[in-house]
Amino acid sequence: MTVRVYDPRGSRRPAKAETAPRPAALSGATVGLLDNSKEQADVMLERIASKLDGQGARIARARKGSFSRVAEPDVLDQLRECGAVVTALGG
Amino acid sequence: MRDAVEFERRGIPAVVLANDVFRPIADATAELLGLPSDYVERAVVYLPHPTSILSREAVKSLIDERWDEILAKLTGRAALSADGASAAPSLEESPLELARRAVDAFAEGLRADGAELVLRAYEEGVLQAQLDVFDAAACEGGVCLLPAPQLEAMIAAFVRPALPGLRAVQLWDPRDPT
Repeated sequence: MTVRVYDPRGSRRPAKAETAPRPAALSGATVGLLDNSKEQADVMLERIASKLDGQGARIARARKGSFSRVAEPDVLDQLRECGAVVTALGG
Repeated sequence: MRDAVEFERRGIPAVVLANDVFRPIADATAELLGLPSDYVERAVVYLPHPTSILSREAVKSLIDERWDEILAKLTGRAALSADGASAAPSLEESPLELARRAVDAFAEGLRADGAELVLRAYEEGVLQAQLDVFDAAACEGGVCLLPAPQLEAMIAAFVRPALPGLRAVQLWDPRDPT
């Protein structure tokens, strides 16, 4: 019996994605918190916000309507001035 | 992870909180999205699944337990340079120490022109610095040194990658003490 396996990923590979340099310190920086609407994501991010406040960072918040879709452009724009972002909750 | 890619593409580094059920597919997802092979290690913080059934206090505790890791990944302390050596600053370095390290090479150049750049304080995004001309003969009394506004701009350019919250550099220049 022949078993044929189809790889849904295809044979083409995406172009390399650039990654941004990380700030060496957060004091005075604005850190964005993106809530993807999954349960408890808001609790996690609020805890992180309180910790970041202790680091001298400012906070910006955004929430997307669906955890299964990429954040909408206007949601991403809300965090465009941030020096770094934390997203929750994947998986 | 796709949101993280969008932020990284916009020049904003991202840290991703994820349930550990995501772990087996995280690397495959990163590869599919074209991210560096070490991106998951540098940017993803895992929490034990499930978190939905936990109390708010228990969820907060999970974050507290992982705060050092979250902070390290936000500030690149979990990263390695291309030659494998750690390029990350010490956890103990203050913003002022980070700024001093950032201008070290620039300060060396000023020293060769007979001037010492001293970083005095960093508060609420403002870096206070002082220029001491110790060898007037080396630079015709400081004439060859750039004017203070240009020195402030150069100092800001060196420091801002290390301290993105930098709002201004205030340089006390003896050539113009006003």
